[in-house]
Amino acid sequence: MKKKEMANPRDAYGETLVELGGKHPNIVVLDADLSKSTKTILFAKKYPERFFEMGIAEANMISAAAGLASCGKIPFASTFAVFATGRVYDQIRIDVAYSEANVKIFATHGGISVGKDGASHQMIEDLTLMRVLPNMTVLAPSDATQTRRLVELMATTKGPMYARIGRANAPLLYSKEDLRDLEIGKGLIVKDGSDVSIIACGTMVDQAVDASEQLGKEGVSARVVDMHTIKPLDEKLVLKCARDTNAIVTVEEHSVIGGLGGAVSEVLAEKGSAVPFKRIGVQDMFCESGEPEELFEKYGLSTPHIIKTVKKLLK
Amino acid sequence: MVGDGETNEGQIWEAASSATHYKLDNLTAFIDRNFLQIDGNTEDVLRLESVRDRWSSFGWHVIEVDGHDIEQIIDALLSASEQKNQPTMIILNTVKGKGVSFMENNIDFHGVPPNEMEYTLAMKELDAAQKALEATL
Repeated sequence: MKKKEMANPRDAYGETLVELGGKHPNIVVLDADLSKSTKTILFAKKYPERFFEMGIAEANMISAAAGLASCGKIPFASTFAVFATGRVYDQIRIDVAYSEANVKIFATHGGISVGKDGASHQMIEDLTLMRVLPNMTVLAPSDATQTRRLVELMATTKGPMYARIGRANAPLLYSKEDLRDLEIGKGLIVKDGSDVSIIACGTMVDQAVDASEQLGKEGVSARVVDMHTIKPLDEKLVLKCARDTNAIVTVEEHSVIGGLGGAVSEVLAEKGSAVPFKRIGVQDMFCESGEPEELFEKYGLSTPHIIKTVKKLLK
Repeated sequence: MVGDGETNEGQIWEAASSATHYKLDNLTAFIDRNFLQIDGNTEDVLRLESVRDRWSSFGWHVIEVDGHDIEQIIDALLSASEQKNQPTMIILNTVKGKGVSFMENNIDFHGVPPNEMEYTLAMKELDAAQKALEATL
């Protein structure tokens, strides 16, 4: 297998904030004592007067971001996914979503690939928590290039938004040119196929592409969809997959309840699609501490597991 | 403006820390100190005293006034506007339901509006108080 070119989506986030900071004087950035990890520190160094260190006080960070938005600023508030959502759900619900505040919550360290930090820091419910909120847009970029493009779109598109990336380096899936026309709410067919559609988001898109290549060798033609926007979901594309292929599998580094798999199943059920369907993700459980690859293997998110699931579904 | 019971919430103190850290001298807050919250007296539910010491220990400039005396409130605001490098908390000592005999310090009216009859009675008392006040001008 040829070696993949890797890049860290967190670096992409921090660098894009710096670029955008030069173009948009209204962009301000807040962090809760994790700026070295979320990479907002890059913005803090370049634009100290527009960076607010809020300390380990996430609730206040979200409310302050909403206040800044009400004064015409474009605040990006960052911390780990576990603190950026569950810990501050009420502040996001009232001050951001209900108020339709132009706040961009950008979370890093989403999913189980934070690894050794264990269940307390493995956020697998954030997409669900954010998706259920009216007015909220929910994004899960799949590589560094897509992170850059989506951060640009977040800055220039009005409204409450949540985005989550992982901690680790991720294989580069796109060139800048590939994503010039990227739109929030429009999924991407990364690789076309006719037997099955694998709809993935975030860190799992690369695994889905690997699975698709393996399946191809075994005579199974698998389409891979990068569903970077969980909400608003690209329903047209989901239904197209239901029409074009004989099965649909969703893959996410997240609970199977309420996230990408939940959103896709709602569309399929309500539109009366009888396409065989399976959600791959973390089952209804907390995971243990370990290396990311070990955890993907143990909790059924590895490439071999995707392949096995697809084959079983097509039988 | 915050209620006294509301300052049980942790987020209030996150904001209190943040406001002094950023030296927000353009921020003035009021606390409505009426000693009542839904489950009873604030000191029985979750002790708040000393409200003044708490806020000043967080680095706020604290002024305490009679919350029913508009002149005292204006003076406090003028003092707050001259304050440099720190936010101001104005403690308004108040009586919940002030001016309506059967509502004063009555927890039953904390979160429940008066019914038609209670409303009529309350307005009668307030109208009478207003007339008496106007007569003194």
